[in-house]
Amino acid sequence: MSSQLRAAVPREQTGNSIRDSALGLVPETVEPLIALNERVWTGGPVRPALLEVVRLRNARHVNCVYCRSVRYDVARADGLTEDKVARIADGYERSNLDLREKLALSFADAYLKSGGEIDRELAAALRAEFSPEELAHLAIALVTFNAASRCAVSLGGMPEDLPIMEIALSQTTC
Amino acid sequence: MSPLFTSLTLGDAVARARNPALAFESMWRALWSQQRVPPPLIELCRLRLAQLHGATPELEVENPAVKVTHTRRESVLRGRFATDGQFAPGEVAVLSLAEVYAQDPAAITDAMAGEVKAVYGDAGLVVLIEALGFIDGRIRMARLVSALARSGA
Repeated sequence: MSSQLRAAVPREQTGNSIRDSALGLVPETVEPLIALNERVWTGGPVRPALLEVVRLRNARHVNCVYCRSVRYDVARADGLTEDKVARIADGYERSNLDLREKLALSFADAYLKSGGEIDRELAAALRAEFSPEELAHLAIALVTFNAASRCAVSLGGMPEDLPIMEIALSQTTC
Repeated sequence: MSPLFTSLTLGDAVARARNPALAFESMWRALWSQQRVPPPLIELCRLRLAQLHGATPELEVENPAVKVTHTRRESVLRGRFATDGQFAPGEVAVLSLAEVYAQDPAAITDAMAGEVKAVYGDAGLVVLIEALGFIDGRIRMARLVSALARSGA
């Protein structure tokens, strides 16, 4: 993984962490991306704490240092704790996470590790626990989180490590 | 069993999420309407990623946003794009980066990124990486939602 940033950042900084990154070089795609990020966090039926569980599982898999270190304020306000984050590690199936959290993590793993392949048993369990609207929201969130993590890794400039830091959703939305 | 959805035809599966779905589709359209990297070249990346994923149904759907020639499509799908003279060096750089991205984004080298930037600039590299992320993601998502839909049938 390159420690050198492979694309410049915009000269004009706006206070939005997405727009102020290299992604801001392309206004025609960064604005829809910012809007998508906002809708994922605020516009769907899945609660922020569960979205954050899925986002952090993705961050671990992609090994995006930025994504692993960030905690969204809306997720913490919704009840996400570092104790819960620690249980997102491999072996979560045997943890005391609740059923919805475990199923959401299995959903993420099917996406991340099996290219989207999912067995009948898991599909049935997901359908029993989540509404079709929630599953669509979770899927869109996963694609968005995964694309963002892979983007950060691909564009380089990743530090070896970062402390845990809270980010306000308002820093990443319109 | 054939999937019900592909990266290009997520349609109803996505729409159920309403507001996030509208923004998700808007992002997708933006990637196909930008001109930093030619959309037909992005489509060839989509086909190559689908092939690497073993997602053959993706190869059978036509992308209404772009046209690619049969010759160039076959060159990419047969893995000959780097040597058969069908593609300019910048196009080869894009397709080569896409292949590495599909396997491991962390394996992309500064030299690979530099070859893309030499032709398409920093903004072109950014658009390419964004597009690959959403293409790869939608291929995976199509499999997921197809399996979910089948399980409820």
